[in-house]
Amino acid sequence: MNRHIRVNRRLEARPDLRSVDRSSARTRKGDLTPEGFERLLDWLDQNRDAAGHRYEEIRTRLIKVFVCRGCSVPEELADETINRVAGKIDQIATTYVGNPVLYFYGVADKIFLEYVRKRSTPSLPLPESSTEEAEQRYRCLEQCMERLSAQSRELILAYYGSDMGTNIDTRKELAERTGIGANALWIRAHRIRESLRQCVRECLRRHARTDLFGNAKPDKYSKEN
Amino acid sequence: MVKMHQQTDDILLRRYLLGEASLEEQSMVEQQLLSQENFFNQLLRVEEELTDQYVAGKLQASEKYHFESYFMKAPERRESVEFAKAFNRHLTENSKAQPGKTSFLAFVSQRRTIVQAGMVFALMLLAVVSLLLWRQNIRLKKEIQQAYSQPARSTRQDEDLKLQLNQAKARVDQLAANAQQQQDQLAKLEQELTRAQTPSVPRGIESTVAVLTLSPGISRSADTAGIANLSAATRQLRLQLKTNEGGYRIYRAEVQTVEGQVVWAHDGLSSRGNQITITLPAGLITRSDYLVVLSGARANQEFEKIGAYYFGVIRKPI
Repeated sequence: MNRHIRVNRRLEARPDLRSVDRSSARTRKGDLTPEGFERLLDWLDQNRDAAGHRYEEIRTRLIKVFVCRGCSVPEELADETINRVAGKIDQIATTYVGNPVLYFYGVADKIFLEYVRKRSTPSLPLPESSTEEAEQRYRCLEQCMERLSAQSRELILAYYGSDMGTNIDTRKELAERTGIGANALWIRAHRIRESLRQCVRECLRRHARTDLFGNAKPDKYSKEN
Repeated sequence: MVKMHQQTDDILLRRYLLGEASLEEQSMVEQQLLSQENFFNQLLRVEEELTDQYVAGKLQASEKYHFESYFMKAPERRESVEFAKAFNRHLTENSKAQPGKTSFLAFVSQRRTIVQAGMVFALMLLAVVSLLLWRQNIRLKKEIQQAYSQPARSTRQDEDLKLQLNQAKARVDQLAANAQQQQDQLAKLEQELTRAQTPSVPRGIESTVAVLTLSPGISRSADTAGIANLSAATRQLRLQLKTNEGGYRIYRAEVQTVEGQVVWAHDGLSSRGNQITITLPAGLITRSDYLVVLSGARANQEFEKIGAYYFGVIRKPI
């Protein structure tokens, strides 16, 4: 794949990078320039494809770490971590010895501490989702289930079952019946479940933009606003 | 060992996700999350299990407390729980609505069973076919052996017949040789007999006797077989008259000129075999052509003419 196309694909995954005015020499503090991003990829791996894959892997896992620590903005914190690393890339590339991932982890730890210090008020108690919202979510789920292929639908229904798959024996039996290993079977089911979840999320977002009569509502979450 | 390790990791991950892990454990888990893909997947699985168990109401009280107070802090987690609730509802309603519906996986399972049964049947069929082929193979081998042995038998018979034929041929040849030998012996004996019948002649004058064998009815102009070559030294002419007329007690021979003049005659001749031999003085033979009239007489009966013999004479110059 063309190097520029691949790099642009990485940039698309980083909204903050797209907002950078590349014609200007000035950038916001902490922003990652395309040149800095290029140097970061070079540090991760000399092979451009492998470097891109590694970058996505690190970002996904950093987000998960921040989620696990209870952060409300895990993606922002993950991107900030990457920006910090990229900002020091010239220095790191020549002096750091070891797995780059661990360097990211060290930076992420500092970012989290900053996040905790900046967070003025403790997290609010969880708002209970309304019945209407739950119903809408369920309708979206039904729609998304219909969009699944028959094979995926049957697999996910069989895997999670009526008791949400909490019966381990049921899964073992299913793995034996299908002739797929337990881990491989879980990965398949999990991917289908994640695609469903994403579908429901988008469905809810679409629904939030329209009123009861199907007219578009102002999106309070939209970046344009 | 791996399973045990996995169970230990599951417990640790569960504590980490519920915020019960120590700082050291947290650091260790997070570093592994970043560097090991399998560990990351394991975390996702435990996270999902915790969510589902919470939604299904299967978490213990302390776990439920930590789940709500720590696990669900992140908005993403809250959204995940809401999704899990909706999904759980769908699964429950789906199982109620279609309890007897044959699922794809059941179909796959059934198909696997069918395939397995089919394979067993195919193996059995293969075994039967193999047995039949084996038996047929044995039968064909026997037939081939028989086919090979039959020509051998016929060849042996042919050889026997050839041997018998050769033996028969050899016997025939032997018989023919014997017959030839006997004929030769007979001819030799006849010659000796003829020689014995003729007056003994000194060896030095043996050439003075001319011998001529005549058959009845041969005309004068027939061939040279009836021609006697006489030289000046020839004193006697011996004529051997062949006849088919047997059964006569005695014979008489008359040597005549072609004009009918009898130049020599002799009665009381006897036959030896089918031949009557006469010997006449060569001085009587002055002409070139003669006729010998042979007559026979049976017991108490007159002579009757049996046959006439012509012969020519050539006088060799001295």
